[in-house]
Amino acid sequence: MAETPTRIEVDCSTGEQKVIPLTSAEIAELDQMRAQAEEEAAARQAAEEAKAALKASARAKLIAGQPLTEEEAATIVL
Amino acid sequence: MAATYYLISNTTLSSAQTTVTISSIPSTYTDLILRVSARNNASGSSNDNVYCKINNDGGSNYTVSHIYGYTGGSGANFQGGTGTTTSITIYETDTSTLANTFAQAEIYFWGYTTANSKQWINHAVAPSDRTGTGIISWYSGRWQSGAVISSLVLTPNAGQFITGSRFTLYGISNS
Repeated sequence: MAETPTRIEVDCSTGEQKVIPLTSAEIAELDQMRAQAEEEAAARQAAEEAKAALKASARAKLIAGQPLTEEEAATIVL
Repeated sequence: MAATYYLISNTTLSSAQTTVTISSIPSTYTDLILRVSARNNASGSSNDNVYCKINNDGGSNYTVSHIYGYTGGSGANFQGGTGTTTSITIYETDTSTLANTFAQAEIYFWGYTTANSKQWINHAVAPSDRTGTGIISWYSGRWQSGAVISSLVLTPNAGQFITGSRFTLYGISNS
């Protein structure tokens, strides 16, 4: 049987530190929070990759002497 | 007058924990600084995330701008105006990085007791692993709430914080 995960709560007013087993509701909430945060991270990663692809395309076109699209031109810092 | 650091709490884990909650933060300082030295027990992407929620607020109330670079990457990357997120993100290491290495991060919260939304900035370094995938990042953002910051809840994106992970909170007084 898997061990129940725990959390630690540090009370700044007393200095007390309590280790508390997670309830099933807290585990479900944790899973949901992690899934949502991962979705956000994936969206940021996708945006970054799209921007990198635009930069690479702009660079290749500059080298080849081809016209850039507006989006590609916007990736270049002059 | 020079600002002054006051240690509010300092926690070094003696066993693995899924979440670290720092509660009952006194409202007697001007600003807060949270320092995190963390590693989790999951395997995977070398540089994992720690999600920090203010007052356990998991709503889309955190605005974020992000600049970062990593070994093997294509230079610095900037993500501005990326909208809202549900937490503050910093980095940590996992089991795929060199043994006993912890990622280091610091979050500075300005005016945490004011009625305005709270600005924060953080920087983090996750050390390189054997394949050279270290990362350095800076985030800035705002928690869109008028509430006083009274607790911080930190959770790794996978696994648990391992023994030896450290969480230190300071109060900064400007008067």
